[in-house]
Amino acid sequence: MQDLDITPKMAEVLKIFLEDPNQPRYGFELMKLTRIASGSLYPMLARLEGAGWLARGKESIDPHVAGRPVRANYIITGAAVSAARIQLAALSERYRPPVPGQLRPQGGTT
Amino acid sequence: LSGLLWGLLGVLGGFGLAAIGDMVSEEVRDRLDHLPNAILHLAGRRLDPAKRKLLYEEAWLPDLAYHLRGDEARPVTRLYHGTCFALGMLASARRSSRNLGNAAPHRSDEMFTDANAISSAVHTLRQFGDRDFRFSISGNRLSVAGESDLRTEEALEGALLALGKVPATLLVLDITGLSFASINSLCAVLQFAEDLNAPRQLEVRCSSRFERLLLLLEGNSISQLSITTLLLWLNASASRVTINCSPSPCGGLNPSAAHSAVSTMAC
Repeated sequence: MQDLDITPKMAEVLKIFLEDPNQPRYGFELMKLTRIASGSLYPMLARLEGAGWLARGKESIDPHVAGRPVRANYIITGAAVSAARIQLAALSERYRPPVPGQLRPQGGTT
Repeated sequence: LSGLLWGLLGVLGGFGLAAIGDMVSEEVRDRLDHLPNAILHLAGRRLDPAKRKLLYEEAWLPDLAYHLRGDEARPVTRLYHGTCFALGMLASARRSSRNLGNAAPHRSDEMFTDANAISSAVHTLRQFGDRDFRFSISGNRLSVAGESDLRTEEALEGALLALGKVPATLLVLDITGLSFASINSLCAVLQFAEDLNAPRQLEVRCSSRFERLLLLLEGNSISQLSITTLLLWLNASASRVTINCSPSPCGGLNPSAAHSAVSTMAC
């Protein structure tokens, strides 16, 4: 599995996967949940898949019955679960607002 | 009379125009319905040919079909959403191709978990795609063919877990097409059968040599035998069977539990 620099949008996607790592997610579903446009989401999924963070599966439907082709779905890989948690924590730390230097209220006494 | 004639002609002309208008509308609707697919097709053509199947055929096209189907009753919404989706793909096709191009084929050496069972199987098969091992699931039946060895054990386990997700009481594993199986593969089958909750059962359809092996692994307390003894015994009793020697066969398998869950049927 390759290391990745997590972008905020990627973090949104990974967060969905981490909510239930056993749950396969579909591109369309991720678009709706994250409100990320297809032009950003799909290259990101390809990036995550390419780096070994996501693994691809297939929807278990009969295409003749459903009347549409079988969709690909994605599952976060075991190794990526912990890596994603660490990266999300790091990202959260990066965007955390700074703690004010002076914790004591103005005019306070010791 | 001429007024009546003109009136009649006017009515007929009105009907004719309405009909033509309907036809034009239908034509335009049909063509517009194909617009997202046409754009997506263009996006597909921008992909690296080696990745076109993986991205365009297996991911984008089915997603667009699903996307459009959801908006089936609303033609304008369908057109808008479908076109936006396809335009996004068109704009990012090269990036998707490049990003997937960074993929390093890997075989996970971590513990096999339910979370990535199926996908790991797919990965493994992709990695060894030109090998003989293959499987397919149809209803409650998993058919496995080719050679199941160390490299494809993960794929077999993934396929078994995929079978386990089928909501049926009786699951069928058809290994009649299997020409070689490592002992770990057979243990994986027994382990899978053991893990099934009652009243779920696994029926294994196999050739007589695999039936013999499965019954041996299932019915005997394998932990009390050394692997060498087992190999010698098997070689003596079933000379056509080739076993891939493994240091820890059926770790943790409870033979009696497996016995209740597995029924074998020689074909």
